[in-house]
Amino acid sequence: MFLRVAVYFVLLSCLLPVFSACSAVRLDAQTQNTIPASGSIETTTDTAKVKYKTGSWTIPEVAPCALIGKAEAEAVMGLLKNEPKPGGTAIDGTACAYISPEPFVVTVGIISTNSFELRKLDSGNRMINNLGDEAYVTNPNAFEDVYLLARQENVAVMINVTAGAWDEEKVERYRIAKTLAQTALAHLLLKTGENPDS
Amino acid sequence: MSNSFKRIFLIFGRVIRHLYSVAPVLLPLIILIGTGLRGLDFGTHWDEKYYQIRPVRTMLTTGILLPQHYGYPSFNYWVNAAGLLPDAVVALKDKKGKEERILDALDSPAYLMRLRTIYLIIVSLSVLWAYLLVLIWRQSWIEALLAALFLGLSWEVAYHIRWVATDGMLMQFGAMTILLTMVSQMKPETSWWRHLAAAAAALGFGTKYPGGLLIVPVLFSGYLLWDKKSYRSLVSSWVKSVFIFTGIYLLTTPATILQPVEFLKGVTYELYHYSTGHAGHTVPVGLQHGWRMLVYFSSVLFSHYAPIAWFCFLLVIVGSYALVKESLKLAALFFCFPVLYVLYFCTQRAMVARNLLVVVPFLAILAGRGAMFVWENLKFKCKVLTIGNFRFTVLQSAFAAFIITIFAINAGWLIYAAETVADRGTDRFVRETVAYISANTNHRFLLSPRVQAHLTKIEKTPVANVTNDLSQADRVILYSSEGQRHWQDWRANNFWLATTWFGPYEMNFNVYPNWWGDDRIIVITMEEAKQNEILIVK
Repeated sequence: MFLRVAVYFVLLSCLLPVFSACSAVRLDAQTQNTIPASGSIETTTDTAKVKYKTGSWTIPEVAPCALIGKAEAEAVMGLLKNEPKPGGTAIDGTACAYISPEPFVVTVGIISTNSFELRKLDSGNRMINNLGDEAYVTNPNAFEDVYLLARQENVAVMINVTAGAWDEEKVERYRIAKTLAQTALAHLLLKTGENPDS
Repeated sequence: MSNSFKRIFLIFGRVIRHLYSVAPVLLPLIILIGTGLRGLDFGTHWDEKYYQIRPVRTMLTTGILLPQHYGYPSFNYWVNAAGLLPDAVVALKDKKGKEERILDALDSPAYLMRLRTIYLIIVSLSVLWAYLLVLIWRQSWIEALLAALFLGLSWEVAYHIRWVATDGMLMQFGAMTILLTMVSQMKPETSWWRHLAAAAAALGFGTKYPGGLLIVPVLFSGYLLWDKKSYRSLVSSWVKSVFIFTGIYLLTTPATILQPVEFLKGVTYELYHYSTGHAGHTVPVGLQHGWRMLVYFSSVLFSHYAPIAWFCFLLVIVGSYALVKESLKLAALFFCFPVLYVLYFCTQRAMVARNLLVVVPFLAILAGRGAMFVWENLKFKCKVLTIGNFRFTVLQSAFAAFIITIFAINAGWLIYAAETVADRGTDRFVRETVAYISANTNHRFLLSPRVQAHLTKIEKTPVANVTNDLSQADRVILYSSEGQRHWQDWRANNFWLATTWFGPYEMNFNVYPNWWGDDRIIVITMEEAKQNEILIVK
């Protein structure tokens, strides 16, 4: 009996410093991560009215850097530091990176429509009207980076705008993401042989 | 009247005594479930919506209650459908659109969180089964608590059990099967325990196909209890077990009979899938696969900290020795499933760590046995300490303090990891990266474009030991999504891939670098980066 109580006591008292250490770590973290005030996103609808749609895991065999050229990107986001280059993964797809000297980074990824659906109904998402068949932005982080996912017919893209220390008034990251998503979707449909007007 | 009171009092006393001996298991269970709930909202998991929830939608929309997806057997789909009950009750009150309302609930984040909670709690029962097994078998609550702590405070176990997936569920049925099988050996006067073990094995099989191997210890138990007089009694006991096993399995997965073609397609696809490999999880069959599993069990499984994991695995080896030494018969019964299971996976080309979960309760029980064996053999002639009725040597107390420290570190890590999940989306991880760079002045870091962008938000002046010159850097810091062109290019189970990382610890990045969920900042040595052809050093 005594030993059992002693073991409990020792184990629990070992945990106390750990608990306090954990709470200390969290003190510095900025935990507010709300969607920016209206104006950043043109029109939004509640995800509660959005339905899951069937999709596919197929990813079009198109190089993401072939979707938006340097000049096209510069027209939207200003001068680039260098040529667009492979920018890593985008959920199950692959992305192209556009790096501005500001510094801020935009990646344009081609994803499967299933991946688009996979995240569509996550909490904190906001739907965007007038972009593809469906589009949404995910709940932003403390840096207010933009993750915009858009789907049109059998193709889907994910645009990520990672914000650096820039002038907030000068660059509207949501506008950049939306414009690039529109262009990427249109080009992707053309390259996969679909009609963008259908 | 007084006799009745006396009887009730005696029964009550017995119940209290039983509860009292089971109470210690609450310690690992509370930590495991508490941290599990804290980190439940971890974001995207590959399989949950598509392979776990979508088949439930199919069951409901077709109305024939068959999931039409047979890559897994169907037990999980019944659990997932049961998770809809609260929504179904609410929907029943509506006059119109009951079906639509239930189907809408399937896609809601609230349903996903509810399902994860259900899985977390059911799978946590593995800890209770392991505890009860040791308590009944070894008659020692300390050894039972040790086994439960080794299991319940393993980070690998802790993050896997938050997933709506078949593997944790199989672990739970695996632990339940071996508990009931061992009890059938302790109580040979009734065959009920063996029948229950066959039922638990069937539920394991109904959860994941390789779980079918759970029938082996049940049949072996029947053999061990055979009186060796007539083969008829042995065959009869086996037939009963197989009958129960098959019957309950078919209840969980009726499509085996009702949709045999679709069912076979699902099974053969998975057989093909595992025999040909799975993206970065592909490994050569045989010894190499076995070696990788051994490294996982010995260096990763029991703790986030490799030295602790090694020590715990050493206890597994000691425990195995002690078990074999004590009773070869019971040792054979205990080992037959995990050995066969690991051997089966050695013949496959896909190594996905979550498949190995079912083996973990066995290893935890062995680690507990090993710890007790070491304790019992530390009775050297040195100073003896006395606490209550217990007497132990200085060496024993030092060993106990060491074990308690290990558990405290593991528990602390579970709490820390859960807190990082709760802090998803905050700037905590970028701040931690800046602090890491500043603290490691002996290294020169090359930063990826996205990390550079984020660092300028926190620390406007560049840190002194950051370089843009590839030849000058010995460490690379990047977001995991910037590492490879395709998720399939990441080599999984590369246990020393990232030196450290800053982001949610909702899973072990070195085990699942191809994770589709949240991004995280990873630190990799230049050598590893080059070996793994990380994009920014190419």
